Amino acid sequence: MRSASSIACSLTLAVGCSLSADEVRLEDGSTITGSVLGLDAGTSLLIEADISAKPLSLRADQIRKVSFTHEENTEPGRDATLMLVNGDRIPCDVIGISDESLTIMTNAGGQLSIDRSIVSSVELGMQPRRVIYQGPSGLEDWKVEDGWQFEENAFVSEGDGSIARPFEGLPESFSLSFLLSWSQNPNFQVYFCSSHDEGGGGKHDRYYLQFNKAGFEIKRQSSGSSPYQSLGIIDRPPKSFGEPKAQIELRVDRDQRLIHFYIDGKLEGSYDDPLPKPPAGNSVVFHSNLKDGEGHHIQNIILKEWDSTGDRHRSEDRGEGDGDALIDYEGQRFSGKLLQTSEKDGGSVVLFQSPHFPKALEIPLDQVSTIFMARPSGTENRSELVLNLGGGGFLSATDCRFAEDKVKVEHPLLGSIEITRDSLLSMVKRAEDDSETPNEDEE
Amino acid sequence: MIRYASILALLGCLSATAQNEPGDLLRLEDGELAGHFGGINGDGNVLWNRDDGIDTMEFKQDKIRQIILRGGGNLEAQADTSHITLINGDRLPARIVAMDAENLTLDTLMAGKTVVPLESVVSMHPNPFGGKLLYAGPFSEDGWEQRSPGSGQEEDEEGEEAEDEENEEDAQDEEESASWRHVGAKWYFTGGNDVIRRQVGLTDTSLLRFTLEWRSRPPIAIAINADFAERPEPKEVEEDEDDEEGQQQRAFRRVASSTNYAQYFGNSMILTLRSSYAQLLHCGYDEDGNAFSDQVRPSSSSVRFEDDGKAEFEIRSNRKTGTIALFVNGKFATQWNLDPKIDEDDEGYPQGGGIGFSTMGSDTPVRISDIIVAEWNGMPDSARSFESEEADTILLTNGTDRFAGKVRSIEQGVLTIESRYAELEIPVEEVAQVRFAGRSIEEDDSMEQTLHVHFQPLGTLSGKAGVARDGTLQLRSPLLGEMKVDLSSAILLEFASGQGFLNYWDEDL
Repeated sequence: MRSASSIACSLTLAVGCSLSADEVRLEDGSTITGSVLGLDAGTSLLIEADISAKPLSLRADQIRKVSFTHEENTEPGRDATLMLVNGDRIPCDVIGISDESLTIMTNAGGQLSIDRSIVSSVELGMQPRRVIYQGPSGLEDWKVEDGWQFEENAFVSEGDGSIARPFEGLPESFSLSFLLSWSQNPNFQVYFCSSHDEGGGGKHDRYYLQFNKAGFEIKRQSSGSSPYQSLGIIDRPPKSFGEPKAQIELRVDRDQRLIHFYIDGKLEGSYDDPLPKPPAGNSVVFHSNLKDGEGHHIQNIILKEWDSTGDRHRSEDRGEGDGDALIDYEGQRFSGKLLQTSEKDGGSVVLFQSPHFPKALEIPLDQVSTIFMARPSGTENRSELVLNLGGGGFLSATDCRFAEDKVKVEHPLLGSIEITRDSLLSMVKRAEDDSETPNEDEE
Repeated sequence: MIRYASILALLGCLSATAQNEPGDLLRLEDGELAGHFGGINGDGNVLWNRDDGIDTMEFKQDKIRQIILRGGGNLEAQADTSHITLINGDRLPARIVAMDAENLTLDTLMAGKTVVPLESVVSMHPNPFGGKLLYAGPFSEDGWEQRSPGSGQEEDEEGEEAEDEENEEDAQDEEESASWRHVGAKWYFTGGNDVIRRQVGLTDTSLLRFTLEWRSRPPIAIAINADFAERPEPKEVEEDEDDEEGQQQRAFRRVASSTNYAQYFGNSMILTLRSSYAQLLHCGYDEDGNAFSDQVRPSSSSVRFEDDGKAEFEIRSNRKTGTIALFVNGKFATQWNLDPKIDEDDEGYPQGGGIGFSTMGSDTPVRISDIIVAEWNGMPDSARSFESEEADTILLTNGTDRFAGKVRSIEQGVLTIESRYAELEIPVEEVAQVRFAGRSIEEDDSMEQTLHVHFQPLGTLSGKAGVARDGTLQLRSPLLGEMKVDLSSAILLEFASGQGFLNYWDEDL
């Protein structure tokens, strides 16, 4: 087992990042906020903090986690995630696959060529195909009933009322996310898949999420004989939040009549609609039940297509076979040998040799959901230091050194690689019993 | 109301007859009769032979519930489970020989070579379970046990003498108070607190499939990996060790539960299904003899029940990985990955091979049928959720691979499917199941006097019974026409199938 001091990062230079609020969490639970400048001789970390006239030097073996803050991320989202055999995840676009390696484009390290023998799987179609709405940027196209205003890229409620908007062509599977903040006790509802453009009661077909002092509840409103049915109660009252805000995401799969509910990036639960048909409406309605005073802020609203099918494939077991396996978007799964990718008719195709067809199958890359590479031998090589990347990725590292806006990482499988500092969200010691995705709370 | 007195009178007669090889059992509306099925004559009457010199008896079909052949039979270790499912719900045990655009050609044990119109076929299952079949039924009560609250150790201690002293009146009371009744090839729950259980030899990776029918979405608990252990004698504890901390520790282990499952199933995993969610419990006895019931995370998962009062459930368990998955009507519903601490417990993961059913104190009637227990290839796959309205779908025996397209033919053991990417050729021996696009089972209850013939290890064929003699039955199937059915693999002739669930309860219970 490596000693604690040996996992310290070697920050050799003060870096040119803005003096933003990086946070260093120590082993005893205390935190220091400031701007991380570097490490001294690989044994201590330098941080410029308001509490000290001079940069503080911290013993590396006493550091549990370093979190970095950056300017707003403008890097492109990547379509795929590559999993290494040691469990590391790298957000990327797949450029090509040969019989020896995969070539990928990453935000962190640019173009990388990775030996097939250290790749466990590739998940494709990670990005939503289409953003339907991103805002708000004003009240245009929104129907304001009462009590809502637009202020500084946010909808603000100042009384009882609704703000609603239909979205033509709302797909069967979509994701609705927004940042909700509140000043006092919240009493808020968001209706979706709604055929009615106002909040409140009545016989309308739609779902809604409500949030009040008791916590969250997802309900089904119906024009049928049972107008209200509770789908799930989530015990997260306002007082359980450190700050009065929550990042809300609702992933709706109308085909399966399923709603997945996330708070601050974590799945709280999945909830079934017991009615035989899902609501067919396409409106979203935000509703405040507070009588007066500033109540709720809604900002960063993103409505986008969501690939529910791909999510199911990605949770699938790799199986017992020794060869490669491929799952397409229809759910077909093939075992065999992934030969390579090639260009055909202006797009990439995967050449896949199945035992059930004499020639290689040609499967368009944009139809591929998941690829499992042949089972490798020796799948460990996890180091005790984890670098969390944007886009839900993370890398193991045995050593890393900062230089300007770059970080030189010694990776147990990839060797020496260079990533951008902007792509690094945090560095953390891997807990001894940590077998789960370390970056779960960073996504 | 079933007349128990007549049953008991008849039981006295049959006790001497069934000494060596198992005979047949005739179940009438008001009693049972041992003997041998002698066929069906030209008048449609069932002939019944006795070993005690009584002349051959004739019974009208509409007075007969069922005939259990050869004592319900024993499952052959290497039983062939290949079958096809027809649109009327029949499951025809058969090897698939060939298929073209119009017909499916089968090799059946009961009718030899059989040609089935393809339009009548919902699905084919050449290798349905990915492992050996361990149990199929319930064709009879044999091997099943009803367990009452508080029975077991205390009851055992009373000794056999007490049993001998039981008179017929007591036996009648016991029959009448039984919570579960076996009728047809089904278990009926009629109210009460008893559970049913059976040793089926579950392995490390196995599946339990059954059909559950209900009136009003009842709660039901299903036990798997049950060892049926009795409560162990508490270890003697020295006084100085029995301190306050120790007492608190044991109290913590006894998680509050409305039902003490350990008294019924010993150490087991218990899956409880309620109106819209499912829970998994690890139940058993700790070393001090205290019953415990630990919830497995997630504490509950929502499960969607259809409103038609009937669903097929499948529970797949993998003791090695601690994975238990629930499928409802062929679709993945939820999965539990057992808390690692279960491995650290003294009790460990239950290693028993038994199953059981409990309605958790509810009085709501339920019916359980088509129970199948089989080994399983261990893949908690989503393959069985792979369905398409537009395309035929194929699942392979490896539990993962699956294709969609148009199944063109089966010839010389090779199935051809035209998929999106190519025309694939797949050996039938690698095919677990084929589902044809847009087909579903539409059970027809309109046929009067329909006879359902159940086969061992599985399969059902329905139709109007004609003459039966010398082990062969003439049957007119609404889909397959006139057939000569060899009854050597039949296990149950069901004349009144209890298709009308509600009517059955209203009339008879």
